[in-house]
Amino acid sequence: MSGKEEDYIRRIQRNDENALKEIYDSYSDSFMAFYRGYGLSKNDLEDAFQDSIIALYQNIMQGKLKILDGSIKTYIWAIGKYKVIDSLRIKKKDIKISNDYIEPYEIKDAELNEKQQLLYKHFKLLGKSCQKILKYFYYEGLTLQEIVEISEYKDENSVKSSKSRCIKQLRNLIKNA
Amino acid sequence: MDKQDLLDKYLEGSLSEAETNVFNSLRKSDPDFDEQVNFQDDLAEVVLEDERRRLKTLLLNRKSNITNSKNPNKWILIGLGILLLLATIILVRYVNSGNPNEAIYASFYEPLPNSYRPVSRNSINNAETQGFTAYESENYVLAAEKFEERLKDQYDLSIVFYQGICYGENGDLDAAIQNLEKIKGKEFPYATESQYYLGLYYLKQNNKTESIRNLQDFIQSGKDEELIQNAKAILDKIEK
Repeated sequence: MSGKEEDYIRRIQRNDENALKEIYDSYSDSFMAFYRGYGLSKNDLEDAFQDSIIALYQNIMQGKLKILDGSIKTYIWAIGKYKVIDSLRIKKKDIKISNDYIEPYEIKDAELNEKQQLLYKHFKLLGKSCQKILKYFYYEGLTLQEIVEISEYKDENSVKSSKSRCIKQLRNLIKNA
Repeated sequence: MDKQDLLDKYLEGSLSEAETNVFNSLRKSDPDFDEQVNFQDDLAEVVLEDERRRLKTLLLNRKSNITNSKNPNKWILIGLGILLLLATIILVRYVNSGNPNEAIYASFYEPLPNSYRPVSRNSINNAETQGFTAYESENYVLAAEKFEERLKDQYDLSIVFYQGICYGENGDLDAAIQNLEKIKGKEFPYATESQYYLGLYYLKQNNKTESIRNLQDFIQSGKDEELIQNAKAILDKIEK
């Protein structure tokens, strides 16, 4: 892995979204060129590329992916392959994609189930501060102390009680739906 | 260690082997605890998905910026458009600076959540999906653009409605009202909500007559109890 790629990973671990934008700029054209011949529209390919780099970003940010066996490019291409196959399946196009240059990564497709979709709908009805604190816990995996350091909460107890209040509010919204 | 601590450590992924055993047996013996774990797991998936959609909008913007920068003439036109829009907003604000209804509007106005086409990973990638992805991420400028693209392809009253909300969010009240007036009285899923939002937009423009008329119509025909209560409260405040 190159020094630049190691730098990307360090920045993504800090949730630096500029790294995502730079990855987008660096690999967009070559990804589109590589998968151009498989019968997907430009929009579908763009979509597959965006989903691939977001998956890379979120896996690294959440600590699910710490060390990459290959390069960042290999990882993006591997997820991209999965996305392209999925799009082809939806469009009922049967085209074989070569395994050359692609490592066989296992990729989880996190489509929300019905219960989660209901939860999502009500999560979006919460106030901004509630959404934010729940993201600190459930997405960024921050500790109470870390949240105090980056937010306006005065101490850990305030964070804890705010989180409990937001979860209670979310449960009530679902209950009263 | 109490249950909440166990849940917190589970979330952090820092349960020891002994704690994992306690955690697993609690899940089997205590249905409430098991439900809390499932709720936390679902919430983590939901938050992850919400962030995914936000990042997707960020990249759509990136793409849009790159495309625009490759087309300098278009870029200059957009720049001029933004300047014109800003000048209009400043002028409208100046004219409305004495509008007492601004505060009422501010305390009741919220954009309607996207219940028309909830975006999921299996959504077809088209202008409509991109529009609603942007809408859910509160990027209303991009959402309005994508809805325009969608409407050129196929006319849909609900899309006209959501595009109107985008215009309202972007501060272009004339365009918002124009969209909603266009679909008023027609049958579609957001026919009554259109009256409510028209009432609010007219209120912000200090057009009390039209605001009251639309809000009264909404109270008569609306189905959303919370919005009906809002409409009644607004009328009460306007008429005082």
